[in-house]
Amino acid sequence: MSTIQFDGVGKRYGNGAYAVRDLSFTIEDGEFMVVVGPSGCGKSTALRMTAGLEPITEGELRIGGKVVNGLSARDRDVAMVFQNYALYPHMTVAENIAFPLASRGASKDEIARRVAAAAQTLGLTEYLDRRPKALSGGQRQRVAMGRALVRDPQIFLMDEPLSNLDAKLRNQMRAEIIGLQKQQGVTTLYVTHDQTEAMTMGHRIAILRGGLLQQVGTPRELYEQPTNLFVAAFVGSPAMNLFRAEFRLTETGPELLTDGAVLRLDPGAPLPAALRAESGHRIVVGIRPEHLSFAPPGTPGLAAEMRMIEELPPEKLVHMTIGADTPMTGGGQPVDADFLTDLGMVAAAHRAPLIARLGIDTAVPDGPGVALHLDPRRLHFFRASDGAALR
Amino acid sequence: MNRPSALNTFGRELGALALALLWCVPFYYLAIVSLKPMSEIFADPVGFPDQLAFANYAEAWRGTMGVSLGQAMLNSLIVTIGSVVAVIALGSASAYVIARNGRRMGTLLFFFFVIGIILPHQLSVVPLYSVMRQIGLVGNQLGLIVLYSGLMTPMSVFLYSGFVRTLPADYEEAAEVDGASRGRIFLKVIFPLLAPVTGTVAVMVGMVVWNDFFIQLIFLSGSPAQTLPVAVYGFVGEFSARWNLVFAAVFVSVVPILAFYLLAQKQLIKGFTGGIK
Ligand SMILES: Nc1ncnc2c1ncn2[C@@H]1O[C@H](COP(=O)(O)OP(=O)(O)O)[C@@H](O)[C@H]1O
Ligand SMILES: [Mg+2]
Repeated sequence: MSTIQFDGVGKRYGNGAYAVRDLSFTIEDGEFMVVVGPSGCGKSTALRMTAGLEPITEGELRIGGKVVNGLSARDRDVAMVFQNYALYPHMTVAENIAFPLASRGASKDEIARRVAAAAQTLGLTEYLDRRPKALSGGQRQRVAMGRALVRDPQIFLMDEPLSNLDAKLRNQMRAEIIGLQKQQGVTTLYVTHDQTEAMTMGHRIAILRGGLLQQVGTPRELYEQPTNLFVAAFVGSPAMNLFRAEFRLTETGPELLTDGAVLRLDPGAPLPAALRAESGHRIVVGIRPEHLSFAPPGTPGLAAEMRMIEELPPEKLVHMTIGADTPMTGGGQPVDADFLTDLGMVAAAHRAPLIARLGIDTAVPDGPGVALHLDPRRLHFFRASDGAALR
Repeated sequence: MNRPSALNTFGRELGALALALLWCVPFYYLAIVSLKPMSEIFADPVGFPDQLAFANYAEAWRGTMGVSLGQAMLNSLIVTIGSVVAVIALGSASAYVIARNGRRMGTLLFFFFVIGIILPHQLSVVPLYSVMRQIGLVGNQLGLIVLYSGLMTPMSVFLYSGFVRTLPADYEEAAEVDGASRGRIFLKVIFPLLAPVTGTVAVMVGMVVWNDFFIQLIFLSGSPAQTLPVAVYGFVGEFSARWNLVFAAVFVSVVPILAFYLLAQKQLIKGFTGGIK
């Protein structure tokens, strides 16, 4: 059993700044957990605390139920793949892979046997006598993997292991890592800043931002039930469409009021209780690009202006704007002020951009003015003050 | 960019050759004088000898103070190699600790060693001599090795710690996660990465120790452990110097150095010109 339990784990530097704060979640035995978040959010710090390379200043970390706060890296029985691989340049591939075994006093026979097996698994057999310098990026990556899996560690730790590879190789290695992890069944903590990588690789994903855990869940949970604006905007590509609106419960049914336009929602639509309490307030509304469609002629819809169409067979992305504030530009208190900067988004003044993801053959009405249909069951609502999901 | 013409290159190489020949002139004198009989040395110092006095070499080889030149050469080798090994071991390990320790302690230790570089050691020869004599380190090779290690380690710490600071911590961290002890990390991961500095330190210390005369004269003269420079100096008496024997001895003592350079030429050039890649 090698679960990893973070229990209020924090890292505070000498200058008083927190890199990670009050981190609490559990990684189950054999699980592939991905920690994802924008650059500088504390992912590496969390990983290094797990490895024992960074002292934990607050909380408790348990591996296999045992508190390891005071245990040095060499006593934790973890294996780590570094972002730049950290292969020993003066050793051959075989010596690199053998190093962890030799460090733990394995016999010569056992080392030879295990190195051969690991090389076999990773397709490195013919490169065993080479130095890292004489290998391609993908091969170096494989050697780093070999060094990690050669001695059956309790835990795999990987810090952005694919970020130095080109796109094609990255996809290939992604599949290989998933396969290896499944085959070895080792509890894995994987760090990346790439949400696509996280969504495709992780059994579950933990999203970090500014050292704080935002949400933990399966890719599907994060995609369908984001707990806040940040998660909603971070997960998915293209990102969720977000705009500000005033929510009102009227006698004729619920309505969303944007700049001048009114969008009536189906009176029978199931709306979350927390949303009903927000009646008369400005909130943030979100909808995924694939849930946007054009309103059939004659039915009411949200007026939008067509900007351009990006064809990306088998689908196309229709870029539009609507007369509404983005979460960034709305008056009053700023929504969760810096998440857009965190995400590198640009906000246009008072026109919220929307993207619809449609099948390549879907007919698009002649623009520039079009009417959009928003399925109320597919809408996400967030409180304006703190970005929390209204559920 | 225009490529240098063949003529240009030829001219340049000719110049280089002429310059190289200039360096050979002292060797010519060395060889010539070492083969002259005593009587001819002052009569005709630069001319070719009338008869070659190979006996000079036999006599020079017998050495001075009852120590043959061969024994003196062996003594020199022991002292040089011993000092080089000791300085490399002490310097690399100290530098690693200094460079990887907390800022305050590291800086303090670093300046401690820098002071060691700055202080002229000649100042401390007298007290050193009396102390070393009391603990039995005068007149033997071990004493000199200890002395040279003390003199040269600060410089090597300076060189090593500058290099260690440029090494990324990743290798050490990877090794630590791989379960290696501090000692193993140093021996198997760090020390090999320091190879370029180790080469520099070895050549530097080797040259200083092999050529040094002052310390060796003070601490070894008259003892069976006397080294080449001291042995050669033995031919220079108070009233007369037997220059032909001095030159013969010097010629012989050049041989190991020459052999070393010829054998290690490739590595030396690589060490001086390239870093790690
Ligand atoms: N030695 C340090 N002192 C102070 N702050 C640090 C130190 N090391 C890292 N940080 C801060 O901790 C935060 C998290 O860093 P890191 O875990 O490397 O982020 P990530 O891997 O998610 O990009 C960053 O904001 C960084 O500036
Ligand atoms: Mg990082």
